[in-house]
Amino acid sequence: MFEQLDKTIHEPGRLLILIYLFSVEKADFTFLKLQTGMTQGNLSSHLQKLESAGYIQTEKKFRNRRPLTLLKITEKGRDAFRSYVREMHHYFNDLYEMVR
Amino acid sequence: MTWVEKYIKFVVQTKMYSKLMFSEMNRTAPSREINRRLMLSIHQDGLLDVLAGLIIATFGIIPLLDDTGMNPGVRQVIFLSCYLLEVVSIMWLKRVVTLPRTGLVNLSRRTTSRISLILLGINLVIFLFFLGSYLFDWPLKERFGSFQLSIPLGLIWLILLSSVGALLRAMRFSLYGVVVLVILILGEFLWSKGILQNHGIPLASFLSGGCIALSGSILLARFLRKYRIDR
Repeated sequence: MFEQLDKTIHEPGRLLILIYLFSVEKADFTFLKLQTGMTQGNLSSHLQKLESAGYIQTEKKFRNRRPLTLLKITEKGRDAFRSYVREMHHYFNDLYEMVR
Repeated sequence: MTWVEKYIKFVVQTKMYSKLMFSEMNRTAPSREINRRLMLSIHQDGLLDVLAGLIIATFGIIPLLDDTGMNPGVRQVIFLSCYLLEVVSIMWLKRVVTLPRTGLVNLSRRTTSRISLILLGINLVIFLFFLGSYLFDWPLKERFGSFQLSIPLGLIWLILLSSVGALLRAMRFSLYGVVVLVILILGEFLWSKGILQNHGIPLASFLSGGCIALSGSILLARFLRKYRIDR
């Protein structure tokens, strides 16, 4: 039943990351870490998976001699996120009718 | 089935009934919560409050500069330089103090509503017109002595600050607007009694601007205690 769901997005941590990135133009690593409440390692791991899937793009640079990692959702990521939300909406609409 | 049972069955099947009965499901929408957090990341450091306070306080030096008898061009340069210095200082503080702690984010256009931006734009134009009228020899300037300054000035600040508050979803800016309006009216009242000069605007501006800047400083102190820089 849930086979069609995108497993890359269907993970609470990665879903939360995509929700934030979908809502902004771009954000840096520190911002995401603060907003999601994840540890550095955990966040890095999720970002790596999202980048491998082509859903986000990373831009690394330096600002005032400090490393800055900027993250942005790609068009592929936006489309995947929209499809995921529609799928979930469809599933939960149906389930809601069942439990009502 | 009686007509009462039919009616009850009909009501139970409606969406409104579900919403009322399953109200524990009506939590804050995630999108609204995200929006709130994004706006919070912009103004939780209190620097915008400090800047607003400084801008309002600086406005109070206009009548004082007028009294010095300085060349109008020099007065304008001094005044505008003060504003420029304030804006640049706060921007620098934002970069050095806030961004390392909260991270960098560029908001998308969907985060700020068009109406809020338009309202803010209109208020900014009105404020700049009012400011320009007072600074330069525009037609409105000669009317300034003939009506009470505090009320229109206070209302402009109130509307401007409330617009900023609505845009950033920070209601305290509306409260700041009320504080400025009240203090300006009080200043004008004391001027009418002969206690203050220049319609009481300089003192009222310094006082209200100072209060707002102080509030911002307290927020900044709290912000610095709460957020540390990741080494």
